[in-house]
Amino acid sequence: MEDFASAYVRAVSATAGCSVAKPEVDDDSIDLILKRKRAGTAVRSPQLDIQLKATYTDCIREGHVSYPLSIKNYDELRPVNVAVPRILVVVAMNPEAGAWIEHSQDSLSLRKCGYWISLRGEPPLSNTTSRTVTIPREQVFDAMGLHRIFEALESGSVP
Amino acid sequence: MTFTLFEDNPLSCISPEDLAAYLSARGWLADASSSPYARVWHHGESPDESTEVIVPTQRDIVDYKIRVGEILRGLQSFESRSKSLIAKDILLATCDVVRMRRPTASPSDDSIALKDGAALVKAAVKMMTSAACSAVTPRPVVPSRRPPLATDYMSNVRMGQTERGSYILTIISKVAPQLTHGAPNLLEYLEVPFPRKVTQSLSKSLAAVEAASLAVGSSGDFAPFLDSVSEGVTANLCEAIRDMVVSEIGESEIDLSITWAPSAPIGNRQHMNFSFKPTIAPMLNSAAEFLRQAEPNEGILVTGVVVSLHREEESQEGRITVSCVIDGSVKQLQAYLDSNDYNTAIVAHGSRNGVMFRADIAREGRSYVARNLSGLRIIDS
Repeated sequence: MEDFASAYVRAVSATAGCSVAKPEVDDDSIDLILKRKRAGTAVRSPQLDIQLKATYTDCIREGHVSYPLSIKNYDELRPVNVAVPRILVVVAMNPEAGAWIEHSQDSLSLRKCGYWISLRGEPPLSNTTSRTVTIPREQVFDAMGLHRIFEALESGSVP
Repeated sequence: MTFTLFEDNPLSCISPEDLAAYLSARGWLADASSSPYARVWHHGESPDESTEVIVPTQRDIVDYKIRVGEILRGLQSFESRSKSLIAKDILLATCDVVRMRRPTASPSDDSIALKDGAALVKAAVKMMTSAACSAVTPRPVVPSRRPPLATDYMSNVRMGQTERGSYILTIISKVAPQLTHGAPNLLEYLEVPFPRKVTQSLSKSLAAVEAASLAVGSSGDFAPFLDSVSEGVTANLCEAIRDMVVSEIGESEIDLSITWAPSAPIGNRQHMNFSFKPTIAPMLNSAAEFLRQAEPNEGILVTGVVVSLHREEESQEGRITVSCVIDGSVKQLQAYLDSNDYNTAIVAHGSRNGVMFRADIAREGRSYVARNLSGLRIIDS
C-alpha cells in the first residue's frame, strides 16, 4: 500500500515539476520531501514535506474524505515552528489489489485518488488515540493542486 | 535509506551557527528567509537544486534534524565527500584544531601503546597550558599561579575523537561560539578572542622552538631560546615536546599541526605544520633548564617540612632546607633566614610540624633556592 501511495505522489509530483526525495534521517513524521525550482520566484526553491497515508477503507463521503489519524501523526502535523511546511496526503485505494491500476499500451491509470490537507496550527487534543480528519473533496492531490500549493509557497504563503 | 551514521553523534549536535559558519567559509551565500525559521543558501551564480540548501536558523524547530540531514545530502552531492566527513567538518567550523600525529608501527596498525597515549595526553595538556599562559604574558616558565584567563581556557578546551592516519590525537579550541550568520570574516573586525590568541601563541612558539633549536646547534649557548620567550616559548613547552618524542616506552617522532577555524581564517593559510624528532630531546631538556634558571618563580606560596638546619657559630642568620613540591614533584629548597625566622624553623623542625612561607624560587645549578622569603610560620599538624 505504502509503495503504491508513494508511486502515486511521485507521478503527480513529476507532472507538477517537482523532485521527490525521502528524508535522510530516521524520522517517521515525514515520508517524502518535494522540491520545485523555478526562476524569478519570491522564495527560492521552496520545499514541501509530506506525511503519506494509504487506505482502502470506505473513506469517501459526499463532500469530504474522512480519515482517522493517530494522535501521534496529528501532533506531528500541527506545529507551526517548522522550516519547511508539511501536509498530510491520504491516498484512497481500491480494496482489491488487482484493481489498483489499469494498464494498456495507451495508458496507465492509478486508482483511485489522493487528497491533501494542512493541519498547521490545529489545536492540541485531549484525545489520546486518534482524530478523524475531514478533507474537502476539492483538495485533490493532483498536478494542478500541487502546482497551486507550490505557487503559494513561491510567493511566501504556507498551506 | 535512513541516516544512521550519527547514532553516537546526533545531527542535533550541529548548531545553526556551525552550519552558517561552514557554508560561509566555503563560499555559500544566504538569500532571503524562506520561512521564519530558515534561510535558503546557494553557491555559485546560477544555482540549481544541487547548489541550494535550506538552513534552519533555530535549533528548536520540529524538523531540525530532517533539514540538517537534507543539507548533508546536498553537500555530499556538491562536494563529492561522505556525509560523515562533512558533518565532522561542520562541527569544527568554528574551532581551531591542533593535531598530534604519532607514526604507528605499520600502515595497517591504527593503535599505539597505552602508556604512549597517556604520555601524549599529559604532554598535550602541558603544551596547551604553556600556550594559554604565554597568550596572557610571555614568561620563560609557566607560573605556578596560572592567570585566570588561562585557567578558564584550559577548562574549556576539548580533546576530540582520535583520527586515523597513523595515530592522531585532536585538541579542539572553539574560537567563536556565536558567529553571526553570513559574516565569515567577522573576527577581522573584532578583538581577537582569547582562544584564537592561544592557538596563535602555540603556532608562534612551536615555530620559535624549531628556529631556536637550529640556532643553538652544537654551540651550547641557549640564548636563542631565551630570545624566543616573547614568541611564547617556555621551559614547560620544551619539556612537553621532549616528553612527546621520548617517553618510558621509547622514542618516536611527533608531528603537530594547527588548522585554523574556517569561520575565522588567517590569511590564505589553513594549516601550520611542525615536526619534532627524538634527537631534539637532549637540547630541549637543556633549554628547559636554561629557561628555568632565567626567571625565578615569583611570590610562590611554599608549604613543606624543614629537613635540615645550618647556622655558623656567632652568626644571626641561618640556612635551612625545606622538602616541598615544586613544579609537581618533591624538591629540596634552600632558604636563608634571619634570626627570628631561623628560630621559628628550629621550632618547626623540633616539633615535626610543617612550615609555610612566600618566596621567589630560582634554580642555581641543580638546586632550588628561595629568595625574598616572607611570612614564615609553622603549620599546626
